[in-house]
Formats: sequence, C-alpha cells, structure tokens
Amino acid sequence: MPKTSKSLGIAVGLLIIASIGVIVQRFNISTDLGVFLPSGHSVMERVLLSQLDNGSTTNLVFAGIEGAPEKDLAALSQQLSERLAALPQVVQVLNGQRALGKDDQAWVMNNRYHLTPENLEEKFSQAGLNQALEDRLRGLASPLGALEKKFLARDPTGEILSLLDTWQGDLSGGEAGPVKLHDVWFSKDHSRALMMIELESRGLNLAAQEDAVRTIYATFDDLASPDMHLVLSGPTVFSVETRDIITRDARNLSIVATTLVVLFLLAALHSLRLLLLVLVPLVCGVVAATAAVLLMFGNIHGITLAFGITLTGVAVDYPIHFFSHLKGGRAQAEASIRNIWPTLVLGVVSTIIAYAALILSEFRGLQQLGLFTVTGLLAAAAVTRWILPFLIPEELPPGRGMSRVHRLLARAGRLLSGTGPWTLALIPISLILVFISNTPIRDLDIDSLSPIGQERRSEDRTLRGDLGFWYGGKLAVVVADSSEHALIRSEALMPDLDRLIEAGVIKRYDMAARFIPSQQHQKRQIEAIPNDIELRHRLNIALEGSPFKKGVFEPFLKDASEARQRPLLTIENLSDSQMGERLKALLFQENGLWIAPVLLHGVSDEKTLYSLDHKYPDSEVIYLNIKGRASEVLASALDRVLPLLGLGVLAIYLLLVVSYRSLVRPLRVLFPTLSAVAVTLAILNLSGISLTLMHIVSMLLIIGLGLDYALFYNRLSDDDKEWNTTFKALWVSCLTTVMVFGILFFSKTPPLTAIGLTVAIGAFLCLVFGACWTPRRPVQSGS
Amino acid sequence: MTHRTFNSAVAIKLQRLIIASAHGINILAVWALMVFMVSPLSATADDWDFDDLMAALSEHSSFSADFNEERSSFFLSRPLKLSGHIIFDSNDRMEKIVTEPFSERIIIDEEAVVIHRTNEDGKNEATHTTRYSLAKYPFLSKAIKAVSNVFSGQRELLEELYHWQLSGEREAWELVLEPRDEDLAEFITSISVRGTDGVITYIHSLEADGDESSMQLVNRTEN
Repeated sequence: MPKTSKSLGIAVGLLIIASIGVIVQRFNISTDLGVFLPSGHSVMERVLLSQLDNGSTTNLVFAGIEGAPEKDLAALSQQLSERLAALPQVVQVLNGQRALGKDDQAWVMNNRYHLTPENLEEKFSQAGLNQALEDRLRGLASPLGALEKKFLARDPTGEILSLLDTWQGDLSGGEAGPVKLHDVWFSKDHSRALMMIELESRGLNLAAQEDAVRTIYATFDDLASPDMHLVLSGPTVFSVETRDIITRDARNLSIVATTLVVLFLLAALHSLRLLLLVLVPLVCGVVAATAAVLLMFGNIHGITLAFGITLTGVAVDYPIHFFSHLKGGRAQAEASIRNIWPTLVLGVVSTIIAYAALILSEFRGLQQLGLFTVTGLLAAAAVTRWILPFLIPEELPPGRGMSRVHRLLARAGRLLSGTGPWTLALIPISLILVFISNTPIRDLDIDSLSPIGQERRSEDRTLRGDLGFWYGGKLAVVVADSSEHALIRSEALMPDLDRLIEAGVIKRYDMAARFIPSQQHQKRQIEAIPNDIELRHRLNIALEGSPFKKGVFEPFLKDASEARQRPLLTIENLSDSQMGERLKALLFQENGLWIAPVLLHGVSDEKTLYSLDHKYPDSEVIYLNIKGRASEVLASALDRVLPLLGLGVLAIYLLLVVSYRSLVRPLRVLFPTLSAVAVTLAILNLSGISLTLMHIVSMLLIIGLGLDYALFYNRLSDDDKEWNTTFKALWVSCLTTVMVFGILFFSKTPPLTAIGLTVAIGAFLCLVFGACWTPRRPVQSGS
Repeated sequence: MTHRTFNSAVAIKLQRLIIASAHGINILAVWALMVFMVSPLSATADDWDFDDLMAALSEHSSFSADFNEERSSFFLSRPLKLSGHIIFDSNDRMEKIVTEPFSERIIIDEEAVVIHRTNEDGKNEATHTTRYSLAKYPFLSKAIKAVSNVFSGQRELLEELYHWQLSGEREAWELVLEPRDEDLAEFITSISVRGTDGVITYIHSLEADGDESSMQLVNRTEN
C-alpha cells in the first residue's frame, strides 16, 4: 500500500480521535425550537423568539384533576398543592385557595387610589360623591348587601371590590377565570379541579424539568385514589413529553430497523466483518460532524443531530460501493477503492453542494445542519478512502450473497434502460398535478414540527381556557425605553382595546397597566383627591338628605388623607414582593428594552388588530400573532432557501460538465434525481400531505442519494460489466435506505413519519429513474 | 302547634360550600324563601304542618306581588323604605323590581344575578347593568337551585341549612328559620315568615350585625 495512503489514513484517524475529544469536552445539546427560525433582527422578532423559546409561561404547568366527586377532587387539590408547594423545584402552586393572602389584600386596599383605573377626579367631585352614596345605599338594599357592607365605611366610591377582583383573578380576571367550588378552582362544568404550578426559574434544563414533571405525577399517584386522573399540560410538560416520545419511538424503531438492515446486509455482503465495516465511515462522519458543530456554534441542537445523522446516512453507500467492487482480500482493497474513488468524490462533492444551501440559510438550526452534513460526508468519504482499506480482512470469502435477487433486479433494471427521456415527462406532469391539487404545497404551521399530537394540544387549550389563561399566540407588544413609558403607552392603548371589545374583535385582554398604572397616572389620580377639609365638606353635602349616619364614613376620610401621603408605586419597588412576581410576565426587561405584552383573548378579527401598530418617539406598539408570524418568517426563509437550491443544482451541473468534459452527460445524472424529487413531491401532495420543514430536509436527502446513485449508474455507460458490481451496490444501498426510512414511517411521531415516507419513496424512485437513464443494451444474463 | 326539628342527612359538602363563600347568602336566602312562600296554599287538612306547607308551595310556582320593605342598618340613621313588585315565573327565574325610592331591576336566574340600576340624574337617564355570574359564585347557584328543589317538594337543601320552627295555625302561621352552621350564622341570625291561609304576608330577617329587614307582600296575583 502506498505511503501517502498510509499517512493520510493516520491523519484522518487522528482527526477522528480529536473529534471524539471535542465531543467529550464540549458536548452540549440544545432543544429550543427557536434555532429553526431565522435569527431575529428586529425587537419584534426577538420578542417573538423569546416567547417561543423561553416565554413567560414556559415554567408554568397547568393541571386538572378529574374522575371523582367534586368534594374529593377539592380535597385532593388541597393536599396536592401543599405537597407540591413544599418541593424545591416548585415556586408556587395556585389552586384558588388564598389567591390573595391577607397581607396582599391589605396592600391592594391601602393602595387602592394609586391602583384604580377609575377616574378619581370624577369620583371625588361633589357629583361623584353624591353618586357614590346613592350607589352604596342601593347596594345595601340589594341581594348582595353583605358584600357591600364589608367595605362600605372605608370605600364608599367602591374601588376595593373591583380591584380585588382584578388581582384575585390571577392576571386573568373577570368571569373568564375558573369557578370556585369547595374553596378551590374548578372547570366550568365542575368536572375538574384546576391548578397552576409554577416551576423554579426559566433556565431549567430538560433533565430538571423532566424530574419536576415526574415528581408531580408521583406525588399525585401517592395521594389519589385509583379512579382519579391527573391531566398536565404546558410548555414544560410538552417538552418532556416530546423527548419521551422521540426517545421511545427512536428506540423501538431503531431496534427493528437495525435487525432488518443487519440481516439484509449480511445476506448481501456475506461477511459479518464487512457488515460492521459499512458503519465505520458513517460513525466517524457523525463524530467529526458533531465536533465541528460544537466548535463552531458552542452547542448542537437535538434536531440538528437527528437530521444530521439522517442526511449523513448517504455515507453508508460509500463502503457498499467499495465492497461491491472488491475482488479479493486486503491486497486488492487499494486498487478497488481507487477504481471507484473518482465517482465517489463526484458524489460527495455534488451532495455537499446540495446540502450547502442549508449553510447559507438564515436558520441557525439549518446552518448547524449544513455544517454537520458537509463535515460528516467529507469525513465519511475520507475514512472510506484512507482507513477502510486497512480494515479489510486478508481473505474474503468468494461467495456473493443474494445473487438470484441480483439477477432478477439487474434484468428489471435493464428493461428500464434507455427509457430515461420518457421519464422526463414525469417532471411537468408531477408539477401540474401538485399545482392543480387542493392540498397546499407547504405546511408552515410550526406545531407540525412538534411530535405533540392534536389531542394533547386541545387538552392544553381546554385547561388554559378553564383557568382563564391566555392560550398564547395572539398579543400586542408594547416596547419602550423605560417601564414608565411602557405603562404610559399601555394605558393609552386601553380605550382602543375597550372599543375592540365592544366591537367584538377581542373578548378581553390582560396587561401590566391594568394592575399597576404608570406613575404619571398615579400622580394625576392622587392629586385629584381633595384635601382633608375640602373632602369632609363635600362628603357632608352629599350626606344631606341621605339616610346614612353622619359619622359612618370617617374611615374613608382617613384613608383618603393617607393616600395623599403614600409614595407612588413602581414596578421596581414591587419586584421583591409576590405582587411584583405576578407582574413579571406582563412587564419585563430584555436587552435593555422594557416589554409589556398585552395578551389578547378570543381574537375574532385579526386584520383590525394590525391597526394597533404604531411607532412613537419613546415606544412602539406591535400586534403579533406568534404562530402566524413564525409561519411567515418560516415561509420567507424557505423562499430564500429554494433559489439557493436552484443555484446548487446549477453548480453541480457545472462541476459535472468540467468533470465529464461534456454538456449532455451531466444531464443523465441530474435528470433522474430531479424526476425523483418531482414525483415524490406529487405522491406526497396527492396523498394529502403538505410539506413541512421535515419533508423539505428529506427532499435534500433524496437529492443527495439521487446524485450518488446517478453518478454510479453512469459508470454503467462506460462498462457493461459494471452491472455486476456497481448495480449491486446501488440496489443494496437503496433497499437499505428504503428499509430504514420505511420503518420510520410507522413511527407515532409526525415528523419522523414525514421523513420516513419522503425518503423511502424518493430513494426508491432514484434507483428506478437512475436505471431508466442507463444506455440501452441487449438484455444479458446477470452473472 | 307543631314543633319539629328535622335532622335529615346532612350533606357536609354543601354546607362547606356555602360557608366558604357566604357573601350575600343571607339576603339571598331571605329572598329565596320569600319567593317560594308567596305561593298559594291549597291544603285542606286541619293538621297543619311543615309537610303540608311544603307540599302546598310546590303546587303553584308562578305569581307576582307588590312589596313594601323596610331596611334598618347600622350605617343608616333612619330605615330605608323600598317598594316595588316581585315576579316569580317557573323555577329558574325571579325578578325584583324596585320603584321607590329609586329604580332598580334585579333578575336572578340559573346563570347569574343581574342588577340593572337606573340613575335619574336630572334629564339623563342611564341604566347601568352589573352581572354577578353564578359560575363564579357557586353558592348563589346552589341557593337558587335549593328554591327549585323546594318547589318540586324536595326540601333537603333547606333543612341542611336551617333549623326551623313552625307555629300558629293555617289562618295565621309563622315559620322561623335559624342557620344550622356557625359560619352561616356569622351573617344571619334568623328569618321569620308569616302567612295567612297559605298566602305569605310578611317576611322578617335579622342579620348577625343587627341589621334588619321586614317586607310586606300585597296584591298577589297568580300568573
């Protein structure tokens, strides 16, 4: 064996070892889906991304307990909330008990004139006070008199009740909130006791989240009777479930796939050693690729890893090609690999060009994926070329597996020879079919990226709906340079929003300013309270002719006087209290900007909401439909990937023109691949499947496989004998791929199903169309 | 004179519920009782007891009447006099229309207590509606269902909440109700209802803080 080969082999080996070192040292897997969205440029996109990745509700778990009489559910809700609140992973549990503690209630009451959204100038005017006493008198005589009497003396203008309602509504408020039975929250149909569990800190890693969710289930099982049932939802729960589903699916399916592939390859290669060697380039490729991504990005996304391994799967073909051309033992290895090396290099380079479109995309996740696949393929090819020959056994058994199958397939393949030009018609036919079908071509719903099923999603919506909690998705965002400006702008938005409620555009909204008004507003309110003497004077006038006793409202005069001395409230001086804790989700600082989301409930007419968008000198209001916006961003980014792919195809053509020194021959390589992609597209579309990101990535793999197959098919043009070696490598590779991905189709996870189906169909079509483009020769016997 | 105290199976569940969130329950209970007791009595047996009263009340459930109410309160220097009209139609809807000294319409149905307040401010007349959802205040919902239960001859709920004493005879009887539970007693001390031959003429309630209400019912008509 030549010296250069040896030293190159050692070099490649050292690189792989170094890669292992990098992985051991730096391995850091990330799971947030945000990296599969383009890196945000504007503030709006940052908010969008932060909402998606790490939104204000990320650490909330929504819980429903069902399957028993109300009383039992309520009792369990109380026990469970006590046990959970004591856990270190849990910040607080809200189940309706003590929604607002005594201290907090007192705080709201004492600060009511700072907090109230009512106009105090009107309320404290002579007419306002007259009206207040009239209202209190009516209240006293109504069926709800007991409620009135509670705060009558302190609060004749009636601020306390509505404020307590707002604050006890747990940031949702009003009638939309849960029903209270036996002191705890229930769904409106009384069938479920409800809870919200806030988990420790936003930066909780997946393992800790998983632990927390399991602990919640375990604690419930410990306390509940067997017929009771706990339903959990929320971002944390879903991310844990996602991992569970993918892990379980991947494990089950990979066991089946591995068994099948091992048996198949064993039959085809007739050597256990060769079988194991098939995997060497792929494993080395994945190792090198992972190391490269870790070095470049600092972490590797779970999806990058999964897709990367998938796309790098083309590399399994390299050793199969090699082994099919292998005549004797190790002595002939160098010659055999040299024989196919030029074709292999062309295959690797053209596949890399196709995948390179990913590197140039705007998705951080796809950039990772691009780097991963390019590195992976280069490494796998290098290992096949310079390391694998050393690992070939001295002697190989002469037997050639599956020769009967091979003869059959070769005969079939030869029947297709020369039909290539006809298959070209399939490209326009497929595209026309896709164009006229009712199934949309793309599915840009980001939910399609997640393995969480529709059923669980609607369960989540039900729980949130019953809790009066925002479903997520639609909000207006106020972005300002200070918390004060964010609050002022939010307040200015209120009349518009109230009009939208009246017009039926939205049902209701939550915003920080409803809980804590701007200082500017508080100042105006407090200044509207008359001084002690004036207020007493006005009150006395109001009391004339009224049945109320003269001295009854002394507590009111005292509170009003004290309110004028109280300092203004700010989000900053609230931040340590439980009140401030609650407001964090509605007013927070990010990258030096203050962000106040206005959560919109029951949106019925989205177009009107875009009219809220405005830019002011100190702030900005933007309407956001998170899912819609994410879809738009996804669409525009994909739109930019497609021309890149077009350029990629052109580049591959030019590469082949140079390599073959022919303008026509490269078309024999490109056409079968393009036909396979087009027909796969048509088959999916006609089956009612719209393309998700998963399908599109799978299409890339089809291009990679197609180019590889077509290049090797091209060898058949030069030498008819290659049907015995090259063609065997092709069908063995192809069927292996179809098997592995075909099994993925049986996965319970929609994304895996998508990849499985697409690649299995595409790979098979690549084999068929490749055969069609081989030159027509008389059919000979396969041996 | 019949004197009997019923100790039916107590549904603790319900009591806890009412106790837990008893704002306004006293007035509502008075209201509910008042409504079902205004129904005509058609019992003819001489042996006049609680069973007869309940049975009679369950027979007719649609009526209206005028009322004169006097409320005294710790907060008021003189009693507040209210008058107006009461309508009860079927089991699930009650209406109290106050005409003096102000205009107000209170509607209680299975879903909510709705108060329409009309403010006569000079020439402007504005009606302000406040809705108290029974889904948010389930104890109100239960109390209203209790009335329905009474009308259909099921008195369990009433007996869970109150001890009762019936005195007098058919022509002049008095039913006195006292809360069974301490927490309910925090709001209400007693309710007494008087009637003549099945027609309720007077309802008096004494609240725990000393506030009192007495209501005369006149001009009753069946609907």
